[in-house]
Amino acid sequence: MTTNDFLPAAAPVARLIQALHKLPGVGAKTAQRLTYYLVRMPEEEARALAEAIIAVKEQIILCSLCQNLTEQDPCPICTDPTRDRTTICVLEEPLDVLAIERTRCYAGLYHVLHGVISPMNGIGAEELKIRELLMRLNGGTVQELVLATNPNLEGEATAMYIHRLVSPLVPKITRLARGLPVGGDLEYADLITLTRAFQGRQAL
Amino acid sequence: MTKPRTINTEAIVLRAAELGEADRLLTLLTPAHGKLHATARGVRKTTSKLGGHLDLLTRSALTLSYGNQGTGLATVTGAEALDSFMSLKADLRALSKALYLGELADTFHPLEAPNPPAYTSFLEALQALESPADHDLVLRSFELRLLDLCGFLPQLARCVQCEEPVLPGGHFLSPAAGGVLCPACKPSYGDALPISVDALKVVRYLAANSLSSSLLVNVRLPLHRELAALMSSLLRYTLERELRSTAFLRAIAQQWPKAEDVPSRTA
Ligand SMILES: [Zn+2]
Ligand SMILES: [Zn+2]
Repeated sequence: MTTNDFLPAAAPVARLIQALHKLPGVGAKTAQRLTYYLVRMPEEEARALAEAIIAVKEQIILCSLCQNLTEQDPCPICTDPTRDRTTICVLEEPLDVLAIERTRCYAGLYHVLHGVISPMNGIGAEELKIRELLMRLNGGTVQELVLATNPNLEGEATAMYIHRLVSPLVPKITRLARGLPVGGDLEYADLITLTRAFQGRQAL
Repeated sequence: MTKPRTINTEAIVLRAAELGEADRLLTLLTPAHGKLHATARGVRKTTSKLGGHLDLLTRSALTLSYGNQGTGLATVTGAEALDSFMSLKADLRALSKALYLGELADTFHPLEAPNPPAYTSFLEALQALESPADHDLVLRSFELRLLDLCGFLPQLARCVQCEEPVLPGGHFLSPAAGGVLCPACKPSYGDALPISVDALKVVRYLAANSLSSSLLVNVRLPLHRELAALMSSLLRYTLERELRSTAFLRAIAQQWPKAEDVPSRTA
């Protein structure tokens, strides 16, 4: 379904509908509803929203070490002297870092891949932050790599691929325990399940 | 004709795209209903009971429910995995091939056009990728069977242009002509590729036989290379594009050319 199905609308309205429709989880109808909500919104609120979007684009960068979103480079986690620098946990998305931080059971560093190998969608290893991970591991200080990609086909494939590449570089490679149900996303895991999965991580 | 409000069917998950907060939009291949789209609600939540039965390349017994009018997109209301193909998924090389087969099936099947033999071919190919069979031969057999079942199989017995029977030696395959060409007719088609006698024999045999019979054929590496290149140009011409998963297929084959190079997850 394209937004054209809902037109005619004034050009600026159509443009906003189209822009919102590109957001994940926003269908054509939701994009339309949000647009008419925004049209009725007081001007200062609309301006604040627009500025917040610009601010994110201008001020948020990727940490040159862990590739997580940050305002400063390296990010607060990478520069925190209390974190264990011998362990790196590999994750698909920045939201997964938040999920694991909430468990308070992990004190090592992170590496965000920004996606997962998805051959049918044309996403291979080159599209992910895997080269950056190899560079971090070349230093030789990392003793354990925790592969915490989602427990589904693409997450497992990505974990297998990275495992194969890094096995000469890291003494211990682990995967989150099978307590996480197949098909679920890490970011939706409850604290207890995620903590158990983390504590029960298994060597590959 | 209105659709029944619910259908029970087995299906193999070809695609799963994120939808909304925690849902997925699935592309399913079924024996009796062809390719279908269905939404699976809440499956990205780790509390979901359905999620594990709806992962990519999983064969499941499903209940699909349609809305009150019996129209629109189906919702998965029941799912029980029949085969998760775990050993295939634990081997990167086999997995890269299975994903390629999945994209091929997804691309060739139009929505809601039942093709039970094509479903069986796909299932058999996935099962063969879990066996010690020649996996490249599994790919070639599936490609040819799919072309045949979807009506795109090139003419292999006679020259497409002059209808003369094909004699050994000096022959060509032209995707644009839709079959083999004799040396005399070859100049009419710029895309004509030379095809060796052995390659032509294997292609004819695979196109005419079941997967299990095809897997008895012994194909050596140089011939495999020729077959892979021929099938790739034939498919590219038929689909008018390159399949996305071929990049991963090639990357894995290049990086880890031998099976023992890739450690499996359980190793
Ligand atoms: Zn960082
Ligand atoms: Zn001819």
